[in-house]
Amino acid sequence: MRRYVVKRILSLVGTLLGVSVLIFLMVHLIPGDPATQILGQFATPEAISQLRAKLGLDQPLWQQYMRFVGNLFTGDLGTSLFTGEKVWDQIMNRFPITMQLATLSVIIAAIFGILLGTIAAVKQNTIIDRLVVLTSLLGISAPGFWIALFLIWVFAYKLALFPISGYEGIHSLLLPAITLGMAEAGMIARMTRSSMLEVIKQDYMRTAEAKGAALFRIIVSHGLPNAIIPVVTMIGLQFGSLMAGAVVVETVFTLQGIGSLAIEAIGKRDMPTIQGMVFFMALIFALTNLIVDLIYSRIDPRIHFD
Amino acid sequence: MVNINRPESYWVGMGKRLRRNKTAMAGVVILLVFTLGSLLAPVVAPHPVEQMNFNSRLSAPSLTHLLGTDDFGRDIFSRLLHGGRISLLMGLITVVLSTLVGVTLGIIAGYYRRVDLFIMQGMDILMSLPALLLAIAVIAVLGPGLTNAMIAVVIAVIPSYVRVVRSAVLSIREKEYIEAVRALGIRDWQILLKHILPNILSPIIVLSTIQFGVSILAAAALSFLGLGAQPPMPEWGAMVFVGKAFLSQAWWMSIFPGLAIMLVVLGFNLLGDGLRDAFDPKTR
Amino acid sequence: MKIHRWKQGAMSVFVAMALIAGCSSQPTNQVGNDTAAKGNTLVIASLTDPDSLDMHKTSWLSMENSLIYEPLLTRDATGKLHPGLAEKYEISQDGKVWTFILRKDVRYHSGDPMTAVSVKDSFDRLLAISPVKGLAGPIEKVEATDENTLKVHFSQPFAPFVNVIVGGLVSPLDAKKAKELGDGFSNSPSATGPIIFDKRERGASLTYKKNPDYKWGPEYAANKGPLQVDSIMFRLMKDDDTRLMEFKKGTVHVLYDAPPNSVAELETLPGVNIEKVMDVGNKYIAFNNKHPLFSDVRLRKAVALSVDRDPLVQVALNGFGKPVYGPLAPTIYGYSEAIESKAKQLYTRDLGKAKELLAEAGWTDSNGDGIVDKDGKPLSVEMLVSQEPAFQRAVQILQSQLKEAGIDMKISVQEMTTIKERISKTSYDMALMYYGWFDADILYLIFEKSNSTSRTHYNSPELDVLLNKGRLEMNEQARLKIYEDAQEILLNDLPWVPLWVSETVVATRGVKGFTVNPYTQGITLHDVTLEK
Repeated sequence: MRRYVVKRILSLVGTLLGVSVLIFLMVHLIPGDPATQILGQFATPEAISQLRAKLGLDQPLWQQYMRFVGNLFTGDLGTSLFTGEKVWDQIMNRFPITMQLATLSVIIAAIFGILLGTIAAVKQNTIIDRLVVLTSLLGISAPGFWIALFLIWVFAYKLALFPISGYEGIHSLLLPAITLGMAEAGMIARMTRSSMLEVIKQDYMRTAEAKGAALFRIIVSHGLPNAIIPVVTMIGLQFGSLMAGAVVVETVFTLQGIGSLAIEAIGKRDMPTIQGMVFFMALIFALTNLIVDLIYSRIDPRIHFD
Repeated sequence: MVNINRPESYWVGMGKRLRRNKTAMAGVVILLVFTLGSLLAPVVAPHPVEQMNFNSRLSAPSLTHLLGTDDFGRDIFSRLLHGGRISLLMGLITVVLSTLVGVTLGIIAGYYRRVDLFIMQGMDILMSLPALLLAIAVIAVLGPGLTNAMIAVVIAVIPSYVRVVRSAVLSIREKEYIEAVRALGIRDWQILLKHILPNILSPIIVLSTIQFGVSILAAAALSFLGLGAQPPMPEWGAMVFVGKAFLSQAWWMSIFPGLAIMLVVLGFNLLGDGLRDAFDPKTR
Repeated sequence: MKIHRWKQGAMSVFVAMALIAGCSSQPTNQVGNDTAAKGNTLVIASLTDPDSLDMHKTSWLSMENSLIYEPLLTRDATGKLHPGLAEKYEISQDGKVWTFILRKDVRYHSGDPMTAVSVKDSFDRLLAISPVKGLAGPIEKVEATDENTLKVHFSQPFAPFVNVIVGGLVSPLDAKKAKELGDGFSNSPSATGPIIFDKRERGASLTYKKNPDYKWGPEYAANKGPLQVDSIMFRLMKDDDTRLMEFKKGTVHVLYDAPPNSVAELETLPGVNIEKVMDVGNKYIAFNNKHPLFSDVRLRKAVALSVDRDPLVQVALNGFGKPVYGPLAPTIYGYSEAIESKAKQLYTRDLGKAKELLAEAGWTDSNGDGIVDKDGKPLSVEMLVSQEPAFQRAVQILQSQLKEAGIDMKISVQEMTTIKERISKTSYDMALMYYGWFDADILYLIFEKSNSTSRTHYNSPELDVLLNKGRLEMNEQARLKIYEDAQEILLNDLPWVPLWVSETVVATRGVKGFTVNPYTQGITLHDVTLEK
């Protein structure tokens, strides 16, 4: 087990180094000179070259990269070109909202997904089953930005139940979280359904049924624990992409999370912020994957590590 | 020479199962309707797609304008029909490109163990960035536009092909008949083409069908963020984006194009599910 | 003072931020607590979170970071010049030395008196560190000859200087404090204005409190003493829906740059006052005058004659703007009614004439597809446009208008940075651009050959002579005449097609006396009172 963890962490470091090269190169390929961008079109040439020197843009590419990576190891993601704030501080200012959003949407998705999936499995091949299957597929098929607009239109404009946009406490995260969780709920429902069906087919379930135990109890005590393992894995694996989905959702609902920070930074060509942001996201993504794998090994002792 | 290709009857049976599968057929019907609608758009659209009419701006759905008009008085129904061409074509191109690249890389990684590590490390790097963010970053470099959006989507979805194909190849290459063929001195490319590719065709077909929907969704999302299709193109995602500003006055501007995206993607997902079941009857 | 409207990007003279379309409606403030219009605080919904409050360092001045600074000279709502921090000024015979007699009763926020020496220090700091110091003109040196006399020496006469002053670029700041604080000055600025920096929550709000010692208000203000509000708060709300909702709830008094399509609704609310303020600049089609097609004046004119400006203003801007035919907007010093009406006469839409010009240049629709062609090639051109929503609407209308004349115009949406880069490399056909400045000298900045910021790559030695003369000519009448002649050349050569001047919608509620001066784009706070 320990060897496995060490191995995973080493490969994670390798991947992150690769990511750092990729991000660095991409950011430097983005057209437009940050110095000109900051100073505006009437800036004097010497002001521009001074700023370029100050930002280290006059150094050779590899030096700039070495500095970027060197700083990464000390936890320094750089400083925003526009606000002069530390990129790390910017991310930390905005991360809580994205985190809350993602967590809330996972909770919503898990509740609805597992519930619907279980019902569908129990009522296999009935109209209810078909409806659940179709609904979950619809959830996967609908574009997030459209669900968002639809919810805003119905609940914020027509029914005036929610704020249209902006953050005014946790309740303003409800619509965004539903939006974000919709596809997730669909996937979880499908997964729960099929793994539940497997479980129901198994003998001990039949025995339990024969004993006359209430169906509900069978499901809760036998079915769910077995069906839940793949679902947990998937929730974990999807957590990272939820963060990315937040880019769209935060834009539509105008939430100040890291998704909208990324879009803003790209729009302004704020190189250090883009680099830091994307790297941060990759790190979160990789870490959740690692944690999921480790948890998975705990839940399911059948999995072995070499 | 040993013929390890699946027998003809496999494909026939698969086709039969697919036709009996109601879900898959529902998907096929949806996709047929949309394909026909967009192919025949110039004929069936009730109004010229780019015709502006400033006197009927933002008018609600009616008999003259089935799905209403937009901020220039253009007919939304006609625009949706024409927009289908863009979305479907975009989906097709991205799927073909990513299948080509992804399958090639996947086969190489799965078959030639020496390069496996490099390819998979590269894929790991790509996969450690959330797909949408990666696509946005690619567009930041290339500039906004439909073509660049497609390139971005292709880059973002390739890793999932490589993974699927590689593991399929891995499970086959160790089988005895491949060993046998190799012992006969058949060249690698012949083995790959004649013996391995046919055997991994079914997961590729299923994956491509699902990815068709995913690509359309991703491209629409990019257009929604203003990074894809450009005005006055009636791309569905871009239409939702423009309609967002008019949500309180003219909901039909954003709701209908979004609905169209959802239905088409649903069509591909239904078909994909059906194909999976038909290829692999056990999992029903 | 200059106002950079994040959404309209009028002040291209300062940095024009590239917008990514998705961002046209992004973040918003996170202040959940109801910082309602309580107490005696004027609350303004703001679109810009300034990069710096130090006016020598910021890349753009907006109302958020410029209200603490006051100009040496100012203009009233009719455009008439008035004394500001300088009681009077004088220009030497040769036009090279400007002498300002400064007010004696002015104090900086730090409590130090404003002296000629301190203003000189402020000038010196500007000339040393400001990235846009070039806009201040060819200043040789600045000297303080006594307690309150300031002399600005130019290497050659610089007539636009008066509008540079009015625009606020050279407004004095507390140079001593700036030296003490260094970079910290950005977060704790000091100058002479009626408000004093109080506190700032980045990304959320910016608060100023009134200057209790203030007594040097301008002549045109009824109240020359301290403000009648205790503090002013800018709450950052970039998203239109949020801004509107907060305004409707009554948590903000001023909605600056209200979304045009909301105005009808806002007007129905009781107590809401809507004001429209014209910009100091135009939106225009910039031709690449070096392009094989557009080096032919007939093609440029054909495009101009295909354009119908009314739908642009009515549809793309929801009516909040005015069509412009001539080079300068009415708010810019140097605007001439004669030129504008002549331009209107020349370039009002006339498809017949447009097609004639095209035919003269060899372009006719020989295959009947509706697009004119020459040697078998259709007339197809590309228009670069940024992601600004009003621009995107306008460009689609332009596309359909040009098509009626037989010109196939392709739209290419790009980041503003990319557009500027392509323009500077002359790899473009045409682009939808904008400019903003207070003086006709903008024509020099756009067209004169020594300027690197050309958007049109147009060059006319004859025009250059006039534009250079315009900078040197100190006699007002003579100077205006020079610019009339210059504009005449632009009408004939038509290196660009001026389209419209935008109007900013300012909605206020529960406030009296909140006005925006179109000539300075500045807010006048002196007479603002809150209704109880």
